[in-house]
Amino acid sequence: MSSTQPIRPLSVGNVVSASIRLFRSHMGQFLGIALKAVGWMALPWIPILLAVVVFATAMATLSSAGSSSNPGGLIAFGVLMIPVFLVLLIFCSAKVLTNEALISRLAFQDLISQPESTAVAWQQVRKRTWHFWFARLMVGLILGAVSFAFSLLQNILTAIPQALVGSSSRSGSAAAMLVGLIVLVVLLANYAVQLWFQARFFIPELPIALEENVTGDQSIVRSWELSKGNAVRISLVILVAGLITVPLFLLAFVPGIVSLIALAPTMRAGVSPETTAVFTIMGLFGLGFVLVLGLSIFTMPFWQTIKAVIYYDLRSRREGMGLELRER
Amino acid sequence: MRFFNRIKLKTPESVELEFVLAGLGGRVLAWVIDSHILWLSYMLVLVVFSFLSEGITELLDRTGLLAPGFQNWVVAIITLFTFFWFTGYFALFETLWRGQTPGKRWAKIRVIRDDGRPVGLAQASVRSLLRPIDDLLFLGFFFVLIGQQEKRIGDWTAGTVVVQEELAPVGSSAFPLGAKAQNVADRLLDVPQIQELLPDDFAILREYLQRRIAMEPPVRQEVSLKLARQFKNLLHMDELPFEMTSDLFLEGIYLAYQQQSPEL
Repeated sequence: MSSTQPIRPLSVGNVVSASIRLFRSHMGQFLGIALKAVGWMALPWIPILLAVVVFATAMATLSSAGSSSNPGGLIAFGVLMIPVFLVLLIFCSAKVLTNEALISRLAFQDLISQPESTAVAWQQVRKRTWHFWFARLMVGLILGAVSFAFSLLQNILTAIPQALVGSSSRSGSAAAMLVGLIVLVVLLANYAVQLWFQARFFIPELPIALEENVTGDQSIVRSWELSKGNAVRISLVILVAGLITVPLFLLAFVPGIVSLIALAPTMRAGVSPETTAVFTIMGLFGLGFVLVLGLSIFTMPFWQTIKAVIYYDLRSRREGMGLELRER
Repeated sequence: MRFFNRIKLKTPESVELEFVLAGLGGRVLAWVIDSHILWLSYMLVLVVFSFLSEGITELLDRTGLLAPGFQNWVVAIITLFTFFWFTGYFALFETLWRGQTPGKRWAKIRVIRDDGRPVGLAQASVRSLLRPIDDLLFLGFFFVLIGQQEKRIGDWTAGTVVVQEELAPVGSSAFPLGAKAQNVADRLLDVPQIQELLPDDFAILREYLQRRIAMEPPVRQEVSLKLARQFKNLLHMDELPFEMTSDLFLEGIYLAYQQQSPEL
């Protein structure tokens, strides 16, 4: 940073560009943390997968052994697995969120020229694990409620003109076009409203990770207040950053599709068509799962860096962060 | 800021110029805006055109002048028009607006030649004609992402580079000052230490005065007090000449500093 130029608010494009540069300069470090997070993401599904396999084989042996044996024990086992799975899911998601926040903290500390080592930053974020979890849960509930309410409104608003045109006897193509236009406008408006809300609740984990004694609910309020008057800019950042991740999906899907084509003949060899279909579907499902997880290793640190830069930018816009005279 | 790529260009007169590269974010933003303008206007023109051609066909048919191959001509015209619309948009805007399209203007970025001169029709056309190749499998995207100079294939071929617009020159944007600020400034001009303030201090002060409106009131008060205290120390003032808010004091220093150094 040149000495004569104090930090200035960043433009939408520069928030994204700065995030890319920041991510690139911490590539190995961030990918390592992301790998760990993705591991936590995948972990709860492994016992589920095992349980399904055990369950399926057991059912198959039971049915082949005849109807004399009782499947009740197995069903009880399955029901018992549900709370175990839920506890595991909650624990692992908290771990994922803490690792995400760790990336954001490291990125932000670098932005304000006070870089931390991973170990030091981890000491700071690990004790706030459950605040991250609570904040994410609340934001999820809020955004879910918003999404539900506005989708309901959207359905009502689009149903009325459709019903009106449908009931009138002399509905021409002009009326149909008008209805189409209304529906399009309502859809876009709904999308914009949801994006706006997402922008206002975009960075709840940052205050927890970087400020002292901020609880989950306080951080949601803080995300809301920091983003006041900046929601459109943040929405644009989310849009542009989202577009940038699109080519990554292409990169990930090419090897996936190639391997599927390569695997197809071996899957077909000497088995019945039903088994082939099952294998194909399972293969596709598994592939999709692995692809999404694999992509997250790259997209997640990118998004966490974006959040760090947005937080940095909002603090300097709304709170004049960095506006102080030099010591001399 | 160290988070932006910089590039040094040599002009034909061997003068070295430094630019900040546009960055992927600014370029994607510009592309999003341009695509919207381009497609919306194209649809609109197409609707008008289809009404026109329908009307003309009907008119010709009624007067018995309709030639047998007329529809083919309509299709040919639409195809040609589509080509020129999509390549012409970028080529013409970048030529006429010195390297900017509406999207680039919004994103505050600009195409220039490798030697710092503005692009001409030749460079803009090459960039525009190679755009479909850059769009293919996001080739251009990866070129910009990975390359040190952030050039897509069109940029390499045309010898151009996309840079950020220069920031507005210092002190150009006006901001409102309180009515009593000049009073305070007049008194502060008697304080000798006002001349010892550094341009850096002044820059921070101006940043604060410009941006304070967007700040959250309680935090703004803190920042204002902190700055006022720092300036009070720098000016070796034990107490302020009369009762005033910290904002008014800062406004006064701003005016006084400006007035004692006429070059600003």
